[in-house]
Amino acid sequence: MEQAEFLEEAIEKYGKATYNFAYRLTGNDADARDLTQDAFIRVYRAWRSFRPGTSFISWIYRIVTNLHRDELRRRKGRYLEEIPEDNSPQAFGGSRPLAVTPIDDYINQGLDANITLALEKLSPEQKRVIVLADMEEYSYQEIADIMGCSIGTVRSRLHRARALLRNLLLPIREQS
Amino acid sequence: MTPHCSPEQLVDYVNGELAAAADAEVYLHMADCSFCHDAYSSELSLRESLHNFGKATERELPASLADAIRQAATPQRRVSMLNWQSFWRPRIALPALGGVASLALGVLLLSPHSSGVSTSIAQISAAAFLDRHTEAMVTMPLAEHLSAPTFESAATLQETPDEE
Ligand SMILES: [Zn+2]
Repeated sequence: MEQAEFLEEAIEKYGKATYNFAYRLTGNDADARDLTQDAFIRVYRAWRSFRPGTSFISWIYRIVTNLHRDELRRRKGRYLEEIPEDNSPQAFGGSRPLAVTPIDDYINQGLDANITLALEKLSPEQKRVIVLADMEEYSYQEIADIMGCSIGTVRSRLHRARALLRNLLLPIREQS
Repeated sequence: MTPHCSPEQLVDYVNGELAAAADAEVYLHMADCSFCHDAYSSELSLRESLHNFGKATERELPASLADAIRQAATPQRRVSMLNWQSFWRPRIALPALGGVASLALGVLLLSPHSSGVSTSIAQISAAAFLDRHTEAMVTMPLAEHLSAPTFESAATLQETPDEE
């Protein structure tokens, strides 16, 4: 397989997932595009180092994670990494399932908006682990590989993140 | 009764990340403890909400982004699409100027305006080329390294008829 063919297949199969992952980390389209593009360029340049049989998605997610981490450090200074981002929450305008009644849709929109707000309260590392563990259902081992940390670190970040979300979201769910 | 499950244990249980023995212990405990079972239900509901949120907010890959990736990965494919400012980057400008120069030379040699002349140029050039060589052989017959006039000198000879 040639390099250009490799890139084409990668975009075809994993472009959407990578863009969504980047969007969830950054919370906006412009940064998600930059992150996705940078990640694919790195994959393109290093295409020979990819071993068939290993997970491409883990590879590109790891690149996205590292680029995002670097970008946050560049913007804010490395010691602020664990502090939640203070940018205002972005509304997600993604496609919605068609088979929903208007009332369900209204409730879901309300919950989605609350989840968006709640995710903004997490640190970037906590947000990454929630996206990977809960939205995309990766195992702790896979997340550790993607994030370049131990399973113990994944576990503790997830526990803290879920405790925060539990406090922020469960009272709202019980009300609705 | 064993002590209540910790929130951390329940997170790992919901995510299917407890070792088999610990998983069985939580399962058996919840059968007898409504407090822990309720906490588990809340945790499960939270995870489902997050998962559904992920699905509901999924976006398509913008076609313009896919194009931008292709273009950034293989910029030489899309030179014609680049704007004029980027033309001045040396890696684009130098080969482009080379191309323009070759084209200009081709036009000069093949254009109908000078076709009559170009025939004579070819003839005269060949003649001059041989004359030079013969002349050189006469004056320096033993110089083995003596080569025929170079392409550059032949090219300068071509210009002579134009001036006539
Ligand atoms: Zn209990």
